[in-house]
Amino acid sequence: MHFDQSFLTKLEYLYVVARKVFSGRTRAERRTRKTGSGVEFADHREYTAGDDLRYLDWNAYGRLEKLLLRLFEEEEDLHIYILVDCSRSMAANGKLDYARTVAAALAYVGLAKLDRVSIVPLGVAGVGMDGEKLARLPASRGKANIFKVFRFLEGIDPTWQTDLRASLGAFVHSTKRRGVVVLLSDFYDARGYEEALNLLRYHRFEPTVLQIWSAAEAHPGLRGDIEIVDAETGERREVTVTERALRRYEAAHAKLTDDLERWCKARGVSYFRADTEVPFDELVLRMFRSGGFLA
Amino acid sequence: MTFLGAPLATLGIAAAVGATTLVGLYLLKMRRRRLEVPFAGLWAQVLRDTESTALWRRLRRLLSLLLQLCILATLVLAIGDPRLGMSRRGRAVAIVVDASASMQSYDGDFASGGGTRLDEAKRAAHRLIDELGPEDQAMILRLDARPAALTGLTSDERELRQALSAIEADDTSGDVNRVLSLAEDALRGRPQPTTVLISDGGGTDVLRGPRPDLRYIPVGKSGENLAITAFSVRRYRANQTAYEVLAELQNFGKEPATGVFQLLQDGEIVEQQRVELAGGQHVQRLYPNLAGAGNRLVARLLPDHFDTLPLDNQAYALLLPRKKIKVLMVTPGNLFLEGALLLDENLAVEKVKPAAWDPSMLPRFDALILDGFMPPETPPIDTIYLDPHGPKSPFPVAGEISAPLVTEVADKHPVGRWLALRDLNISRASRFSLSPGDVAIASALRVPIIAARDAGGHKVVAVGFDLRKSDLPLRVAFPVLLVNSLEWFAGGDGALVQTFAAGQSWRLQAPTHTKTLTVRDPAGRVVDAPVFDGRASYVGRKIGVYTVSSDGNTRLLAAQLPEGESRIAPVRELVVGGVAVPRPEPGRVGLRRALWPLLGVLAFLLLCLEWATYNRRVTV
Repeated sequence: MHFDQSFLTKLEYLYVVARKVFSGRTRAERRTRKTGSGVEFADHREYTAGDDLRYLDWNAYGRLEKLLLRLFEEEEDLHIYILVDCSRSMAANGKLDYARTVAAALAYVGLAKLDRVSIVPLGVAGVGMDGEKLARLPASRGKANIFKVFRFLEGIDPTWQTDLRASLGAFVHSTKRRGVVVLLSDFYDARGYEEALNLLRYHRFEPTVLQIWSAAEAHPGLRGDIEIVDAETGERREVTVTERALRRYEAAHAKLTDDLERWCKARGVSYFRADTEVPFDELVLRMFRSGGFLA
Repeated sequence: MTFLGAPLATLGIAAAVGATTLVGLYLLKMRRRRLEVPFAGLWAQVLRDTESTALWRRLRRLLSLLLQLCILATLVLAIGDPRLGMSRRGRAVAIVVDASASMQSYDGDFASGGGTRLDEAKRAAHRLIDELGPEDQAMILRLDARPAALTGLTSDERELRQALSAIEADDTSGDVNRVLSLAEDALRGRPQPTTVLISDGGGTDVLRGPRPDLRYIPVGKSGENLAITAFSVRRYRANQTAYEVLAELQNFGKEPATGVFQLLQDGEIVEQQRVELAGGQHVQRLYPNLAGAGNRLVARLLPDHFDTLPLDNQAYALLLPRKKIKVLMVTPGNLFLEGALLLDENLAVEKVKPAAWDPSMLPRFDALILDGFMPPETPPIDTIYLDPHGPKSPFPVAGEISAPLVTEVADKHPVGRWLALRDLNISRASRFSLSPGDVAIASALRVPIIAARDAGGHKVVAVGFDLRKSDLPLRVAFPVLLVNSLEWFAGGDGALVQTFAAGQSWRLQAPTHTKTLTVRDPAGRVVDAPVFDGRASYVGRKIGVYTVSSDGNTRLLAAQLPEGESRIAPVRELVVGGVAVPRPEPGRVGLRRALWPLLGVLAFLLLCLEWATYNRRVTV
């Protein structure tokens, strides 16, 4: 994987397009929903002992005879966490390369909008990797940091094992600042993805799911007697691929994808299917146009 | 069902080995292509769905094994050459095919393919082979002058058919008695022996006695035949530059026949005559005073219409080349003897005194005359003894007879022909003791006084009295006796060359010290005939001119068709011992159908089925 000048040019183009879609601000160009010490009124809440008396709304007390505390929206930098699945299954059919490219594009747009962008590789230690831990790219801001992003992405090694629950659990517990989470994965996790995504939701992150999808995996076109070996676990199974068995496999794959999409939509989680055959810029623009990402 | 191919034990072993191998291969774990997939969990779902049908899948693989075992069984069965059908168990059939000269007649049944009678006989024999049961055995015998078994008793159809195809007709008569004896010997002790004679019936009139095991299939339809039945030629004794020919023609049919008779000398026509013969008529034609340098004579008959048997439209004869007989005469001096030998211009006589006797001279001469002289060793040459005596006499002398009167003369013997010895006066004569085979040319009250012998490769004539003590030299009989003897030595009567009948055993005289005679038949085949006692035996099977050579000397022989072979009217109903010989009973033989082609097709279809089910993943 190599990010060259033409790639950078393409990212700049994406950024320009993104600016046309969303009007920007001087500082952090997006506000969080966090209430605090900002200047723009957000809401009231009842006074409790210990609250700062300066924020009591005396006008409201005069009308309602209730001690209400005024809340203001707190303006702060937006944190964007781009989570990239680094399991071995991502190495198949160019999925990891595609994920790197999309991650770089999103990171560029984020950096350019002066958001704080952090790259987090996902994976748990597999066989023979006990004790090792994945390092993350600390949050940074400004386009100048894009090269750090590139280097970091190039250094990702797909030698880990998928465990979304454990990986995201570790993420949410080690990340204090909430923000937007973009999760790039093929979601090939035998333990399921629901619990893992719920972790993000429950910890008040704004997850966006980007499923890396390969047509070669959805429609493998195999025939005959084969011994399949799981890329991550090394588990072996003998199977005779008949037409009928192949149809069942394709149905199971489609069900996995559809279930994920349905699950996300039901819970207001942005979902995008990233076909590795589709150019990454097209995907990124589609994400922008959908309005649910970085809006 | 009967297996004619490999034995059952071999088939069993082959089936066991094949089945064991197949089952072993079936039990081998299939080596699969290894493929790394990103997420085996999806495949696990597929496999979970199919695990419920695992038993069925095993059964389907078992179906594949069963199909392969079926293919193996079919192939093993095919190797065994199984036959279906019913037959009489263990029948032994001798099929005798007539290959005599008359079987060359072109009147085979057109409904079954025409051709010669031999062709029709072969077709009938093939039908018999077709009808052989699985446990029947058969053999092929050829009927001609020298019958022979061409195969042993066998069930191998191929061997029988090959032997049938190899049969060719000879120009000989069939020796029916001998071939049936051969068949009887071969079938003796066999269950249900049957001899089937396929013939036109020629020569079967000699059959005697009841023959319950004999069956007869007649071939041929026509008896119409125009033939040369006799042909002879000889030089005139007085004028050896000229010769005369005797030919006999016969129309064996019922309808009149016409044609052209030709006489050829060394390929050139020297006589031609038109002939017309009524049905059954035979004529003799004499052609006198013919001359020419050639010595090969061919009589040819060109019928105007189709002739059933062309073979007997030609006949062959030879003229003896004119040659002087070299005679060595050992005598103290005998004017009577010398005068008598001067009468024949074909003799070249050389005279020596007894004192000058030298055996090394003999190879230069054809004959020897010993006038009262007895050499120490018996000379290896044809010899005339005059008054032999002592232990070296060719015929032991058992005393003397005074003034014998000749009472018997063997005028049928070549030496005794035209001899008039009545009233011959002899002072005294020796009493010869004859051995078996010796011939008394002249006897006095059954006491041989002139004898002849043809044994040991040399001929001997002995006169048992002194010429000077009889009046024989004064009689005409004396030069006649000498010339008869010398011409007998020369191998014939001097003017007539003997012709041989094809199919008979010819005894060919060989020159002294010759061990083999090389005989070339009319077809060009060369055979070396070993010589025993100065003669070689040879059986000529074709009519025509044969060349006999030895030590650089070459002579010719002519062979004629045996008598009776021109009489080709087929015998439709053969009667032996007053009982009609039946034909082979139709239906007594069972069908014998080869199943291996069907089994081969079945194996192929099973193979296709197995292949299709494998590729369509039905049996995997």
